[in-house]
Amino acid sequence: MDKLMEVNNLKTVFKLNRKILTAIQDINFEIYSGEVLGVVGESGSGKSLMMKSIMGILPNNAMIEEGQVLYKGVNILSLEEKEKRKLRGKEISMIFQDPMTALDPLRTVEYHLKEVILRHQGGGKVYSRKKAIEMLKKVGIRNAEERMKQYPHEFSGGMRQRVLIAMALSCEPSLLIADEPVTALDVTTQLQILNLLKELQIEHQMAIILISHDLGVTSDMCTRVIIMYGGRIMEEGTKNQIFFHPKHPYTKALLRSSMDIEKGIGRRLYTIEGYPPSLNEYLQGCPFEKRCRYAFEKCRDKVPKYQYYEDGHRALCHLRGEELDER
Amino acid sequence: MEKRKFTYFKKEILHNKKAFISLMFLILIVFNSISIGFYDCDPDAINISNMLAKPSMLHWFGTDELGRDYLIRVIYGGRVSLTVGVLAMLTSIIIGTVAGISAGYFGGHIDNFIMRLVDIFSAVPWIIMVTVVSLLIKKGIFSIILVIGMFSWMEIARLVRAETLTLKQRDYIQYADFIGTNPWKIMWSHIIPAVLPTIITAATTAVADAIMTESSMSFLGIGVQAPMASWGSLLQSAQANLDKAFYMAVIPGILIILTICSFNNLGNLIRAFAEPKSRSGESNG
Amino acid sequence: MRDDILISVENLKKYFPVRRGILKEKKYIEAVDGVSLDIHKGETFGLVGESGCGKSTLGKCIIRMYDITSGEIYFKNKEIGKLKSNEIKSLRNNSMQIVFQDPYSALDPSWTVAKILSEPLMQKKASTKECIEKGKYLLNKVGMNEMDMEKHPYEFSGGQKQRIGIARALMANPEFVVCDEPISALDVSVQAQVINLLKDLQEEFGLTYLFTSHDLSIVQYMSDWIGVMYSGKIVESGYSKKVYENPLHPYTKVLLAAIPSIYPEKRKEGIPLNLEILDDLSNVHKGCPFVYGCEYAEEHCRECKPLLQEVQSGHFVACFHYSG
Repeated sequence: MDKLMEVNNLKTVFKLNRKILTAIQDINFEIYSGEVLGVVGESGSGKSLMMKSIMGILPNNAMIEEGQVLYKGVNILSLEEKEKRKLRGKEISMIFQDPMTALDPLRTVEYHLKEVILRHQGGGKVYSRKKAIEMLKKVGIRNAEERMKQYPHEFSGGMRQRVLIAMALSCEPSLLIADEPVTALDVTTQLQILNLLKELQIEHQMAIILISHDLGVTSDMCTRVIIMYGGRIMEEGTKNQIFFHPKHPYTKALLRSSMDIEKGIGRRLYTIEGYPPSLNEYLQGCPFEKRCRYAFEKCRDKVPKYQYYEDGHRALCHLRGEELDER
Repeated sequence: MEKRKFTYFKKEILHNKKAFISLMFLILIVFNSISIGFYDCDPDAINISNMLAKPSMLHWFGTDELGRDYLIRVIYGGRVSLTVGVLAMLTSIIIGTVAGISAGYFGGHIDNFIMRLVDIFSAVPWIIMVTVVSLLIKKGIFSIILVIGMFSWMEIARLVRAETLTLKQRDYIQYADFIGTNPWKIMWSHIIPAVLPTIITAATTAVADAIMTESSMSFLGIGVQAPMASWGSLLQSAQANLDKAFYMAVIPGILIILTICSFNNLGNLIRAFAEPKSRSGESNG
Repeated sequence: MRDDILISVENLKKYFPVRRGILKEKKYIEAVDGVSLDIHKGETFGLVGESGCGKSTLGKCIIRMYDITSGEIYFKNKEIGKLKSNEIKSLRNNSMQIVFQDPYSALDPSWTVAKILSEPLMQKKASTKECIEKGKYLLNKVGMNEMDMEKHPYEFSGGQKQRIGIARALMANPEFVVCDEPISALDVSVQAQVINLLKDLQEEFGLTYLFTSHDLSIVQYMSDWIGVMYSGKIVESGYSKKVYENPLHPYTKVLLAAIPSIYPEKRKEGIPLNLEILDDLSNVHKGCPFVYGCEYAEEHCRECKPLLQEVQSGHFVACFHYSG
């Protein structure tokens, strides 16, 4: 498998009322063509911001302070806006949690699809219309020719997400970044969309970065997983390593919470006391220190270094995984 | 919320040059309007021997066609214009807010009725209405205030109604209703604090508009009557002397423009703070 | 245990009119279409279903936040469905309360926490002192600080806002609380905290809950009895464990199987092939609402609506597949 994208030392900051706040830092990871990488995190973890930094669609008050993003060897952060735009859609595509933010309520679905196709593939009206119908059918929208003439608000949430997927895939990108694509959907619709993504991923040999806060969704889709908290990568590994042999206290705690619910036993749920850190809090040490049951003095003062385990499995912690099990 | 926003507001005023100058200008005008009352000078002191004198050390703005010191006339005129502006704004804000909240909250027939009123009042060109009404009622400063107020409440009503409609859907409003809170209490304690930023922004525009309207009315002769003066009426009397003393028109004219712009600039700044900022960074979940 | 019935609902219907032109025929959205259920004192009745199924509406109808279109609601054997708004006023707030889904819209952002908490008691003409006392007491109960009384909602996280909402609901000593998807909008690590809190409070204050959610595993965890809703009707209901471990209705099976799980052995097999048609929900008046998505659907199902029937002890289902 070839390396598709490599992120090195990425750091993004916010400028808020004349203060500079670090949102994400020390971000390093790779993604290979054809694989599905999951990024798991809660509010404030920085997962969405990381993707926006990579795609170059940060809000006005945010900027990348350090780092590079090598896509097929080229640092896309240093590209001109024009070239970035060419890359977006043709090589790297993105789908969001709320389809309505990406869809113009005053334009038909047909317009949206044709616009994307024309912009990246050219080909003229006839070709783009044909391709649009083909893509809609592919994502499971029956009566594509008729429904194409409708407006976004006339579609249900699940259908709108399908339209977004059709748009994102119409130019056959090598990498798809999906930011919480199914969070806002019902559980049955969620299943359909995830199955659809799986099919399309295999068919197009596409790499996917799937951002989610839902461990179940992540485990369903992904081969490798990154766990983010407080703007840093806490743990990284294969699905098996993360879900069955977690080495980081945060990962362990997350898994325990959801496992208790699934087991459905009537005892108290395991909880992680406290709340995720807000952007304003300046943290000298480990961001998870306040809520970590294994935390000791060093954790507050010094940011941990990564502990390495088999096959690229790593965790940001002062303690080794084995030591955690003993406590 | 208020305290935090106020500190940011103060900081922003100091950094935004346009807004700062606007604010300083308005403070200057207001200060002059108030303090002139403590000086022993009579704006109506006619001095025929010194008609239409050019600006000099004795008379900074010169004198008008009856020899009255123009600086004093202008300051008193400013007082009238501002008073009318602010009181007319208050009138329209009160009418507009009550109408808008009632229409939005109660909905149904009340909403229809009030909105039809808005349509009717908006449909007639205001200058015609204002002229007709002012010819019918007794002339005087309070009539002017009333008339301007009565014909400028509609936009505020629309804005307030729109916001009320959105707010009505909020859970905390539905909760207040659920526990049995009186609708008027809900409107007063829940809805008004929420629409206050909109009202304040609309208020600054309303003052500017009211001053403009009054100036126009006085210029046309249906506003403030002699010997009382407002900037508009000064403009009107300056017409006759344009060739000999153009400063008589220029001074009140510039003051009107600057005042209106200052209010609008302040309004824009307030609006930028009143608008809920989109959350930067992560959204929930 | 299942003692006295606190709330009993019979054939409740709530239809919302759809605005069309004056000359066009009146159309309705049948949000709740004939629901009957019993809620026993001290228990948690879990209502599960996806968006648009009517669970929120049902909860709000029971506490008379909405007027109902038809049917009966009994609270402690007194019929309250037909009572007018002012007659019901004392019952609302005093005996029945609600916790909302969205912590951001549940609290007035311009009010302090103290004011928010006092609201239900001020309605009962309590003194400011009483309100503050009770407010502090309940804030502590939900795991927050007395000092939070003077703060505004924006100073708190989603989870904390939700706790404030829960405290507010308890100010007037209610017997029954509708928890309308109280954790859906919260971070995963905070959800467990709030669930634990709700359970603790229920035990301490002897509360009865109606708990709604779209997540079957959470509903199953919280509830003693589950009702599965689809298209305004209850299609399956029964003891929580029974429904979760042995789902009968095809829709319940789909719900269960669709929950993404880390542990593959938990996942049940058998998703009906017609799942995609669920996206295109159209109201079928004559037959079973689930007929298009169902693996067992037959002619009969398109013609008649199945009724909820007890097919095993403590387990009801509305499906012709089980009741012929």
